[in-house]
Amino acid sequence: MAYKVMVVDDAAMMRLYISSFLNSLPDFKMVAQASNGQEALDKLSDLPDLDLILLDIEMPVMDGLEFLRHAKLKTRAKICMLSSVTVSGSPLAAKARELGADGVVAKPSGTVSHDLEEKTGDELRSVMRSLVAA
Amino acid sequence: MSDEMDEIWELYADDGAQALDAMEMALEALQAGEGDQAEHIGALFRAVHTFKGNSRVLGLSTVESRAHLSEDLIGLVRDEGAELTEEIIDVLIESGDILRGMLDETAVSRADVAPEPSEHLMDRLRAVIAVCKGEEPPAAAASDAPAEEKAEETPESVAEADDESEAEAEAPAAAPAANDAMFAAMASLNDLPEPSGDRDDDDFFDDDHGDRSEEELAEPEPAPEPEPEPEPAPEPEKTEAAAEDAGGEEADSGLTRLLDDPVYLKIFTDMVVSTIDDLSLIRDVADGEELPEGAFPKASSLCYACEQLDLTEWVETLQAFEAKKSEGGTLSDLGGLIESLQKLKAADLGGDEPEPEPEAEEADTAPAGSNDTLVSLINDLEEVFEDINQLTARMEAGQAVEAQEFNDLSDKAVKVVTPYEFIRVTEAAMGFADSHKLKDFRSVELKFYEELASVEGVLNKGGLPEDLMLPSQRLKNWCSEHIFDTLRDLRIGLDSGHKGSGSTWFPEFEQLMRRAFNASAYYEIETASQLTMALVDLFARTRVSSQSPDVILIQMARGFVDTMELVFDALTQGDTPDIAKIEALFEEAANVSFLASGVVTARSIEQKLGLPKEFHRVLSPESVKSAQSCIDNGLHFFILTCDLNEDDKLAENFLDWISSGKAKMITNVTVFVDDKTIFDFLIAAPMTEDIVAEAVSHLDPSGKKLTLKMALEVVEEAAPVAAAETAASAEDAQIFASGAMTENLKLLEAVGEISAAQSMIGAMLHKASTRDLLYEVQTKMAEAGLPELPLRARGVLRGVFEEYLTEIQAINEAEAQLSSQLSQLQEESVSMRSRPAEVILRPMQTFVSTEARKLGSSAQFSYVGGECSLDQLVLEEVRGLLKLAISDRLRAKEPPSKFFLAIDREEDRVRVEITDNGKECALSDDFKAASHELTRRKGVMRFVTLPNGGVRLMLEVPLHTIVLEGMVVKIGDVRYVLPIESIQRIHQGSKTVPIKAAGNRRMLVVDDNDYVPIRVLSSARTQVHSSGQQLYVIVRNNASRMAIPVDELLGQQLVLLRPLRGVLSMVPDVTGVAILSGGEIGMVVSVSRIEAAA
Repeated sequence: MAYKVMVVDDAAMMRLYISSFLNSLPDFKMVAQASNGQEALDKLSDLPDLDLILLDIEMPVMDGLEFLRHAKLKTRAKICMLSSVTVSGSPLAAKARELGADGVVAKPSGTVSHDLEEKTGDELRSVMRSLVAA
Repeated sequence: MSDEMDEIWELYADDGAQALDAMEMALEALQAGEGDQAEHIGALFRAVHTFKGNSRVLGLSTVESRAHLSEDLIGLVRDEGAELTEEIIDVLIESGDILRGMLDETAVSRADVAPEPSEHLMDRLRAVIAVCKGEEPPAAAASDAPAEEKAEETPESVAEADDESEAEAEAPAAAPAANDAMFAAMASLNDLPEPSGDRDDDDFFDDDHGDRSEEELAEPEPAPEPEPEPEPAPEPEKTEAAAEDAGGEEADSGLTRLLDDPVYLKIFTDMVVSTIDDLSLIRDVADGEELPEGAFPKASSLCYACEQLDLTEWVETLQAFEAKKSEGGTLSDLGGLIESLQKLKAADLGGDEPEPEPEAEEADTAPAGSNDTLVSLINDLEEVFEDINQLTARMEAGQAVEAQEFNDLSDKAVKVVTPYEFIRVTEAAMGFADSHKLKDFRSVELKFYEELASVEGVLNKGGLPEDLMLPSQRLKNWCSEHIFDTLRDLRIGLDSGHKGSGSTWFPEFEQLMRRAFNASAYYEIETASQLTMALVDLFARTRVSSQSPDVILIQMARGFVDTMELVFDALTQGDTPDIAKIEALFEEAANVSFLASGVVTARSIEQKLGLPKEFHRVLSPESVKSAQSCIDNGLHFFILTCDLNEDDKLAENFLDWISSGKAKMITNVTVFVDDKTIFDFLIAAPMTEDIVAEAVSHLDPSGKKLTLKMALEVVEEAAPVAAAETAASAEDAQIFASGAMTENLKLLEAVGEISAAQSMIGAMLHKASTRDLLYEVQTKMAEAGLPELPLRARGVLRGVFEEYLTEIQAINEAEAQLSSQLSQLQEESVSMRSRPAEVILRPMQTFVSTEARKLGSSAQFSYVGGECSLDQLVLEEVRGLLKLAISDRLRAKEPPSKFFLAIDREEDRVRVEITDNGKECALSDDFKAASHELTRRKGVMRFVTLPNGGVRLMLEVPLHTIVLEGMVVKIGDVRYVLPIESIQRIHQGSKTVPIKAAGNRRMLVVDDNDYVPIRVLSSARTQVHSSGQQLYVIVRNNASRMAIPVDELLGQQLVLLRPLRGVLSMVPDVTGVAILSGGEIGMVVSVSRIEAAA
């Protein structure tokens, strides 16, 4: 039984990369995607058994931090920030922790990180598994 | 929102001061009888009127009522022909003084003043007004009469009182919403002319309810200021006066000029964004297709603002939506409105979204009616909060609490919160059932408050009842009260090193850090809050990777704890804390991932490339490393703008191109245009700008979706930046630059390794330079049975050998010079690691006073010897031991009130004595353990009771640090370390005998029948003296013994052993190098290797 994941990122290519990454993991399955926080929030009510949300921060309409605040009231799914602005110890990583992000991972090469799997794959895999296991 | 309100309150303070200045000047002129009296009275009226209007829109009803009555009085003079008497001038002067005091107070407090202190002014104004009107002065007590009674006295005042009430109902209270902010901002320019001629100045702010929803109009009115006010006099000159106030000609240009002002443009834009967000949320949370009522007030408020700004298209759009109310609107109507507003916003206000900031979550996106939900939830939980407090109190008092009581509490809390459907709050409430110990219970309680605070963060729209205790406030209160316990627990955890799996230590660490976060929030120390969460983030990442936090993180966290202790200590004493260190730590935290990756910081690359600032937030260690590599390889850098989301084919081709090796992507950043996402890519390529431009046009022939934005020029000289980054303040470097400390240690070890190798090379050169090669040739030839060399041949050979030996000698001298330089380098690296003891003793003063206060006593700490220079690792150790010992002493039944410390450095140890005036006390287990460990390392840590009262701590810490206990000896110029466990004895003597059976090797005669073979270390520059006293260290390896001749015994030390690497590992007899006390290098002898070689 694979864990259900929603990917929230405004970059279509990035959603594609993340989707490809998730496809390589037998224990995870992407069940939904959204291009901004508002769209993701709209979809939450249809995904009561969602296990994990991979969430970008910089998005139009509703950004990831705002979504985080709202989503934490609505879902049990673990929320893992996956953003180019969440380098370890950075102000936005700190903000995400403050707002209750369950995990924080930085994209390695900017908003569209085509090398996500190569450079951050191990870390992301490890974080995702630790979150769903918790 | 807070920025806007700051601006509005600043405007209020500035305008108010100007108005009162104008009032004062006019009154002075009137009093002096100078100039045109009518002009002065007009100016006086306008000044007071302006002040009144500004006060009203900020909800300062008391201030406004005083100004209003003053205005009425002036109006009687200006418009009703009342005579301007000295009494009127006098009461107005008093009014001006009181209003100025109110302005000062309200500008700071941002809240209304208490009415009582100025009641006498009201009475006096009413009395004077009554006289002017030919009426009986009202009784002073009238101000206390109920509003209804007053309304009966002056029917005209009813209308005005209603107006006032409505104005107050609309005016913001403590925290105005976005729309209120807009009104207030516009109102601060209340000098502007009315759009319609039949409005007075007040109408501009609080009339025109036709545009407001019925719900708003139906809102209960707050109790009006309970004074009957006379009917305002007609103000025939009002339009003109207002125009004058507006600045004459400028005012004629109309209200739309407001949007020319960037401040008001931003306020209006924010208001629009906020409204759109609110409406979107209303749409999103709605059940079914029916349009929620809450949407109409939002639209109505925005419509009102748009009317003031003459934004006809906006007004029509919004009014069309409002009309749906009576027709029974649907969610589709709301969706249409949102879409229309977004289009209007893009057209009229520009499309650029503000750059997302961390505070973006502050945006007002709370659902309609969210305040009611929040208040209801908190009120429903009141009994639960009570139960929590009671259970906590009982547990703290050591009373038993039955398991059933925890279950009952949990059930009750779950029952209350479940209907609200906040999942995580419900789960937190369930936790009460399983937390039977005080510590666990407290954790669940705080978790419960945290989850409620998250709800509050989303729902709270401001303006909540003042007596409502919010969950966030409960959390902050508790955390600030217990901050010193929290910091102590954090320190204990850090001292334990957080070893092992993160799952064991991280949850508690995070919990403690969140408490520190809330305590920081209580005192509104934003940087401390951010730093706290940055550290949580850094530690969380090591947890996930199943690693223990490294020394850099631990040191940083220790620095955090130490600094926060000082900060909170200052705060609890009412002092202003020094937060410079917090800021430095925060920067260090942001850079630590770069340091850990061994790369320069992002700032350095930004400087070198002259990167636009938006790239700052996306530069990761990987991208910095990549950029640096490209700089090193001489590549060119470019920024390309690409619309990837709209064209899959282009996106694919572009990403192929930057992955193909023709160009290399360093990083990219999101750029928002309206609600559309495009990207700026930073790439590096060997091509020049024109070739890149050509490639770009090849990828996107349309030139619309992919463009070369700019070419960057690499500035190699970034030395000042690097210097600035490394040159942390001296004090920061002293304690907190843990990274530098680690680097210095590595540097020192590297220097030591080179130094040891150099010593060995020196010894080999010395040996080579002292050989008699001619003698050796002749001996070997004789042994081989060859004839003796002829005299001439010997002369030739001697000449060759002498030349050779001269060269060796020259090399030897060069080596000696190198040796001297290395020694200097070694001294410098030792010096880099040293800090004065002052850096740990000065903060100790605060530690002592704080610790004592926490324990209910008071104590002072003084010291001498702060200049004593010590290695940072030693300082760290001494600091920990001192804190441990002092904490023990302060916990004595009769704790000391004074501590005096003396610190001194001896050759191999640092000696500390702390004398205090307390009574003897039992030693804690921690103290005993530390003392035992120190004793094992040949240190001292014990208390001595002084004969004349008081106690003295004797503390001696060895100056060396780690692992190998050895005897340091000197042979020639080189220090060697012989493992202490292999030393059998030291012997000084001259009696040796040759043993033919062992190739004439000499044996040391220790006792009459005890012979020990002598082994000269192969790298040592010494010879066994054939006569005279020689010092030997006799070592044992299994059953074998050896006597090693040495020149000098330097004593026992614990040393840090570093193995030799590479070719140096071939050096015989030696297993590694060690850093000795004082920073010298010793070569660590391997007894087994000596034996093997023998």
